[in-house]
Amino acid sequence: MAVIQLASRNLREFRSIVTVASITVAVACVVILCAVTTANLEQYLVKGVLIAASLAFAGLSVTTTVFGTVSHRTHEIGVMRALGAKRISILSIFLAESALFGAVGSIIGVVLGLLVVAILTSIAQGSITLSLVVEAFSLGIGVSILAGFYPAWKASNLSVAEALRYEH
Amino acid sequence: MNTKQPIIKTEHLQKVFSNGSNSLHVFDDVNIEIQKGEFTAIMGPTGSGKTTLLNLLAGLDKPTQGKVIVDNVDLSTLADDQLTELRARKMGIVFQFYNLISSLNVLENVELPLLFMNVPREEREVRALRVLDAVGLGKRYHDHTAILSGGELQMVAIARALVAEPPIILLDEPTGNLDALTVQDLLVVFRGLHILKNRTIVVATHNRRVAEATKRIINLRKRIPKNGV
Repeated sequence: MAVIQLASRNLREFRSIVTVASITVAVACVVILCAVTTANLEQYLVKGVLIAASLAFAGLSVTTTVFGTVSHRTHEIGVMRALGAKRISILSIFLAESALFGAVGSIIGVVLGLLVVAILTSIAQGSITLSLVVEAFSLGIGVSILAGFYPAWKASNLSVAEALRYEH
Repeated sequence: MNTKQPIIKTEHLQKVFSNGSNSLHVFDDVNIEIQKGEFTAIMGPTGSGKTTLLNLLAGLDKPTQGKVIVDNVDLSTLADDQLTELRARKMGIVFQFYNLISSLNVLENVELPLLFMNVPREEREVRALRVLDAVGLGKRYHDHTAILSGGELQMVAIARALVAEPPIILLDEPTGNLDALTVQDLLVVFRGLHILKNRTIVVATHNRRVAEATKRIINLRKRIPKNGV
């Protein structure tokens, strides 16, 4: 809980909102594109490319935001390490932050996707299954954690002395 | 025969900061021994290396040469996480500019060292409130740090350093921006820790009044920067 508390402090910042929005769009795309019935291989490939591109964009957004947070909080990381935070604790805080982006973005994305599919199914063929919803949600969180891993790892490997000397 | 083992010992300690072709010898061949329960001041002008020495004693920075031995453990032999563990269990650190986390309230700031030691939430709260009471901030626990005065911020920083009950307390210029009355309050806290709790206190200061309240003064002299060393 404490890690979540430390990780969730930046959720209302503008860059965090943009990141959540990018995950929302990506997850909504996954739900919509997977729900709509594919007629041929070409459409199947186009769907795959669109899903991959939206997830890659969302992942990039998470990486950039977590890097920004690490840079902004370098001194704070130094203080936490000086007070007894192990590397794994720092890694956990930033991974939890990435997971939170993923969870919030995925929930909104799934709801948005379901709404769009409900509208689209009146004009095109398609269906929603529970497994699709679960997969889209997991994909959103998974991509976020994966994308946040590198900046979180960098944060956990900062030198304590250098982090303490850092002035933002 | 003196069989006392120092709780902190340095051997031929040297620290050089290098930046390209420029290097700054902060100090050379520093050998000090601090006994358990001793109240020691490190004095010297700005730039003499007080903070650097304190950082080395806390294992926050690595010496260029020499050793720091804390409670019979050579810090250079420890891996990063072992060093963190030792710091968490044995040392409370008060930084020069408080270094409180602005997004957390007073109680959450004080709880931080316990949080990293995986102390359960209820116990964290009880211990943090107890130490806040002891420094006179028991009723301000829910406040955000932005509304506290310099003296109150320093007391929160001291409470945070004491909450895990470490045997060693390192303080870096704890009276830097405080008025005479608050300095007096701080000295009462330090004396209480030293006399009643037998804590080892090392305080880096350029405040003569603080230094005179200690039992021993270590003087550092300012070094001249050298080029191309």
